[in-house]
Amino acid sequence: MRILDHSSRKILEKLLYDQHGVRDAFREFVLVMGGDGKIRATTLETVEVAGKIRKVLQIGLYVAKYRKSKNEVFLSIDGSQLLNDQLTKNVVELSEEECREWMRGAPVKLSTDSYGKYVVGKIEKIYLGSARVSRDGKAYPQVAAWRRIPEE
Amino acid sequence: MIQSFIRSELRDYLIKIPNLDLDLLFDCWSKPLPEGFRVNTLKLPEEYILERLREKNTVFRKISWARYGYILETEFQLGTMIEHMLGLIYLQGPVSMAPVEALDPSPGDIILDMCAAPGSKSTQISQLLQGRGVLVANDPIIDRCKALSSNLQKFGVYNVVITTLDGRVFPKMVGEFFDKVLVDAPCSSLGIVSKDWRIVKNWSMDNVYRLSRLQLQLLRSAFDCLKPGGALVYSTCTLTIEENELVVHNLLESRDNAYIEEIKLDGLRYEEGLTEWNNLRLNEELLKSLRIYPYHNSAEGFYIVKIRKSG
Repeated sequence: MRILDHSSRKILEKLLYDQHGVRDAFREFVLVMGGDGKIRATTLETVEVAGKIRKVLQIGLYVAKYRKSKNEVFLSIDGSQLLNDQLTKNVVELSEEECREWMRGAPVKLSTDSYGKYVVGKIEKIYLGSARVSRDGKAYPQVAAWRRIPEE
Repeated sequence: MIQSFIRSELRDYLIKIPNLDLDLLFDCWSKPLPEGFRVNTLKLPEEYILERLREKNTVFRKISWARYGYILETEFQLGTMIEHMLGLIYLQGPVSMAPVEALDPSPGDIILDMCAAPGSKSTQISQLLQGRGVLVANDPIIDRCKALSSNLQKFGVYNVVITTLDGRVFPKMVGEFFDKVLVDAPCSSLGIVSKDWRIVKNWSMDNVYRLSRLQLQLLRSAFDCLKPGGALVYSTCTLTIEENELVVHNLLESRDNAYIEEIKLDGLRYEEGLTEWNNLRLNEELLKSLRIYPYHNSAEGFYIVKIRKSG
């Protein structure tokens, strides 16, 4: 796990600006990245405390996943909630039923084709993380298996 | 029904505890525990989340001793709600919220939760830190850390370090470092028998003595890694004196700069801690510790004490 340097951070900021209109994403946080492209947000003080302790399993909050090969970034549920109204582009307003589908990890049909390749789901003030939009006009949510609500 | 599971060794032990009403205790053990939850203000305002719950026909009432804590009053599967999966609410027993309230985390504190998994109290500490300061959530068992990690993620906590250390190594590693420490120690769990009757089936005094030795080591370690002026809360969800008052008594005997502080939690019912056991006089300060039986609040049984390091 390494602290994201200036140039890597700029790449992430540009992607989030292009995909969702966020300026200087996570600017108040230190960002660290694991080998799997998972980006975690934390504070400088937390990093300093972690430096004094052995057997650190994890630090901060998983906010996004960066895929270098495709130059794309997906926001986690909690990463999108942290950014909340900074997300101004490609945000899909969902109904309660669509929200449940989303949280089951099931595809959700989008009402228009004016969205980009990636969208963030939202219901009222609650953000649900990223989905990839396919050619059939459906959003495929990237909800981790452990986070999905069970089938009824 | 539950009485048939209780071994005579346990019954004989419980009879000796002063002011413990065995009939009421057994009655509580045979009933399910109430379903409590906390609203996660790290993510959204409390009233907004409560309104969403009301719209889904849930009925609940405020817990007087826990900020953001509620008890469900209707039968409802909170665990399958979207609000739960999104981390807007956290399911936690009502009395289990009391130790962190006693610790009273303030924004900016550096806090160690020494036996943190599965993370109920860690998420509660992080909520009261409001994103400022640092929480070190530690548990030596890596498998249990998966649940800890998931719960902290779901709750949206970013100022946290998860570690997998034996709690006893902290003073040697960091010295007097933490503003506050929570030791919610592994215990014989007699306060939560309703959850699992095997607790009384498998109970033994040998296990209590084994746990008591470990608890004292953890408590000493917690005290030694506190900054001067810092405070710790020691809690268990059990009723035995060997795991509660005797552990604290032994700490007070070995640390001149340790003293017990009063805990004030609105509406929480309890007995004062014991100062005599098996003809042994214990430190009088133990009267300030809380001995909470399941029938006091129709919920879990706990023991809670707050200890400050002079400085």
